[in-house]
Amino acid sequence: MKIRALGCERSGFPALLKAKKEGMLSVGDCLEVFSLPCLGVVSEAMLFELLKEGDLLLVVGCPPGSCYNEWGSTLAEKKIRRAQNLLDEAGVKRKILLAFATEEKIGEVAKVLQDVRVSP
Amino acid sequence: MIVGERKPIQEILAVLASSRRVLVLGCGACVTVCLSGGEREAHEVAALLNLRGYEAEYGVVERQCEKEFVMHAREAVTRAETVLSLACGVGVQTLAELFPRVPVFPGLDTTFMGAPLEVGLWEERCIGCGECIVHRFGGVCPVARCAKSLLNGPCGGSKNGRCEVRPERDCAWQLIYDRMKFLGRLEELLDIQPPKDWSPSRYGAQRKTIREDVRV
Amino acid sequence: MSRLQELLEKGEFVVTAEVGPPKGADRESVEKKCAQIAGFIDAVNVTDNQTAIVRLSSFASCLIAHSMGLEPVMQMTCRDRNRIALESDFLGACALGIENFLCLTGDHQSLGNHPQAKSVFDIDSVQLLSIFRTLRDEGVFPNGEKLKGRVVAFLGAGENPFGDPVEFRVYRLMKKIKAGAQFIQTQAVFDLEAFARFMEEVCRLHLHEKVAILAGVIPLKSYQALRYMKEEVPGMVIPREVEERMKDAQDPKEEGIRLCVETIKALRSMRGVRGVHIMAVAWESVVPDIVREAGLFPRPGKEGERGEDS
Repeated sequence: MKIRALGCERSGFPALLKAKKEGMLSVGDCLEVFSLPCLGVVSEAMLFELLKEGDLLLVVGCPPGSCYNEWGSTLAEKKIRRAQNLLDEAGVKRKILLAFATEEKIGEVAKVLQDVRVSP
Repeated sequence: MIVGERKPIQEILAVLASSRRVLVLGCGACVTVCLSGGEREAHEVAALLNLRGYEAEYGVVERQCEKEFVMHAREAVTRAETVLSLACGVGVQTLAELFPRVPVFPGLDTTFMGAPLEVGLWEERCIGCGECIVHRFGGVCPVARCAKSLLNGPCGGSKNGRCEVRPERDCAWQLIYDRMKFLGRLEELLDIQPPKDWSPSRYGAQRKTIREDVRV
Repeated sequence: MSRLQELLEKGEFVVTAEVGPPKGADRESVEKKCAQIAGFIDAVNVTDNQTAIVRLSSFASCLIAHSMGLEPVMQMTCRDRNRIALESDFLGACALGIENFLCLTGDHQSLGNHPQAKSVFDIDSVQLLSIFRTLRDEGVFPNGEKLKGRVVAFLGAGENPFGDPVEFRVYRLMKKIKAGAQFIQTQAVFDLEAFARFMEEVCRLHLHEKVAILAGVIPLKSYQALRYMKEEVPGMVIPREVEERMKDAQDPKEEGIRLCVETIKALRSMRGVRGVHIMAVAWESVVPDIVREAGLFPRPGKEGERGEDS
């Protein structure tokens, strides 16, 4: 399984780098890790473009209560859900995973990947 | 503004069927504001179609109802096998008329003329009846906002300011009553409004507006 | 002059009832219901695709009722027909001997069994009353053209004293009177206090002198029927005491009849109430019992004619 990852500069991206270093992302071939100023910037178009390569897109950002820009993570969650619905309706077999983690707490990242491995 | 909602993706796929090269063309006006057919949305649909195996390109024109703007997309249109228009019904028809040889499909269900009340919320306000009488009702239009277009007061189904059709729907007459009360003009609601002349509306005939003073 | 109008002018406390036509062309169903209530009522309303459910038309059903010697009240809504059709049907009905008309807005089609239909609502009930009144009194169509011959019509409208905005309801009634309403049939009364408040306002504005108000009542068959009405029928206000009575009743039908009779007796004593309109939905057979127990039998001028005892 080929993974691409996207994280916000504040929490997600550092968390992803740490996770990669600790071997958490070796559940599949991790292609690249991208960064964004804030998850709130995410759009369905961007997610679909990223999904051109790889089977799985992992998105990581600040936990919703502590998003530096207040609504970024909350909006991103809604957009990711919408994007996944569109993928499912269009019969495109790709998954977008969302994890809220920081560099200090990367447990969530492992957890969402675990779930995917269990039910691919 | 004109509001529309994107058609379900399955409907779009069904209509595109076996085309390969698709141009998803958005419009920079109303449908951009209601987040259904602007450049971002056109990109979204094109990227999704690409994941589905199409060769989709996306673009946007300033206003898809105006010939001069639409012609800017001429090259992209002729490159495509099929065009999926994310404009309102007016834009789709304009495209179809200007490019009669290219199959043009609507990617949007055009719904109403309305206003953005909040981010992510648009509501109907006008149905283009052709003879505006909102001033008689304190600025709330019963023709568009009452489910039955009643002009002489609420029906028996108004409850807690909601319409019998759907509880999420405001009763326009409650709004009118409250507004006229606030304005101290309740008495005017006792005037009997005569039957509406629907001939200037869509029920008359296909409408045209001509301004001879600007035509050459 | 229509019999209903005659009785009201004589000062009688009138009894009208509603008959619901079938979802088919089954004329016997209408005849049977009419036979059940004949002799116990002064006039019979036939509903017009009520709650936007397609049924045998009010027009046809009224003719059936008329052929059986009953006095029909033809209900006409603005939902399905434009002014052209409504005027035409009015003339047709007048030509065939129907003399009482109830001008209604009509329940929205989304509530019925053909929600995909396009509604008409070319005019509203107030405008409809005006048009009919003008046809009758001035002999002209809305466009000023003269009518051939004359029409006789007793015009009525509905009113829901419990609908919102509640403060406006009396004024809406005033408009209907101004437009030509001569009698009113109200939405079913369960909350006597609320209705009394409405009637007080009506009398304060002297509207009771200008229009005959017939208070609506519905005999409840069961607790489920009550819940259905409370939840599904627009404009129904049912107080808690009534709900409890029906819920706890040993014999719901008996309780329903009792409640209805009590309501009628209370309504009879209210100033301005000139009659009662019994809407025994899908239970027309109970009308004779109700009329008898409410002390309203026999009906005037109908000695010798008896309805079928249930």
